[in-house]
Amino acid sequence: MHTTTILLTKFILTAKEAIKLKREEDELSGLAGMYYVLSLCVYIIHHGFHHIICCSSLYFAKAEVARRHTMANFYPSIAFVFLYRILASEHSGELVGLLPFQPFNFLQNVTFRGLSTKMTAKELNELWLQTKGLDATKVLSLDVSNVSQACAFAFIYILCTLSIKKIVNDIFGVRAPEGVGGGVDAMLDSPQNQKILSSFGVDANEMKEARKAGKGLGLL
Amino acid sequence: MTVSAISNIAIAIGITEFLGCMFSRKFIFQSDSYTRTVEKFERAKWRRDSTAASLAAKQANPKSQKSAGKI
Repeated sequence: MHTTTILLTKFILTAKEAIKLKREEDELSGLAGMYYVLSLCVYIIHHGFHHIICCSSLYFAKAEVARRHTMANFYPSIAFVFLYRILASEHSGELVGLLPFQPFNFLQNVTFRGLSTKMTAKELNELWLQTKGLDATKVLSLDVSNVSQACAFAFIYILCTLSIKKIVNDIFGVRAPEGVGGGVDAMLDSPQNQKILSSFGVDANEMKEARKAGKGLGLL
Repeated sequence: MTVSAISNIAIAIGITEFLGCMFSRKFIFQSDSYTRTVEKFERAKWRRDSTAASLAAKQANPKSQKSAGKI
């Protein structure tokens, strides 16, 4: 068994791609590396040598393109963290809007964020009229029936992020070429990342199946 | 007040995203390395597709190939 493995390993070393893989293989722990070589040999026997070279180079390129696109999304997200801090400091404790409905309890954590929790419906009504520039003593507003209708900055920010950001990105953003797929998804398919996963004891095939199942259920 | 506050937030988000798109286009997607990577990916995809097609053709009619080999 040992000699066959050595022979097959020599066979792999004839190709340029395989040399690269072997070099990276040495960096990994012995057992995980051996397991990977064996699985690679089985794959070569089953599918042919040309096929594995094609697949590995495709996965490398796919991961590289996906990495560029992920980075292009990552840098603006840092800018958005700063933007949130700036806008939050500007609008903190301010009533930005009034919801026409009473949100669910878990949603109230966002809609009521930064506003005074001790406020009554009457006080909120007055505050709402003040923000609209009307005199609270003269106008009787029926807009507010419950305090939970108050809408703070955070909720508007989230709504704008989900709508305007997406629209602007669709118009001016660069789409990944067909076949690259999701950023992290494509990056996980690269041979390098597969080896890293296997060194952590994660079965790559099982993970692939789990991802496929997740996609089927609409979770990923 | 509320309309101006909401429009301020919306405009700020829109401008930030627009600038983010423009900068990423300028510094990432118009760079030579990205163009080369995409070309490499397209080539690898074409090669994989052609290999997969030939494998499928082989698996579809193995008997005819064997008989051709005997002749």
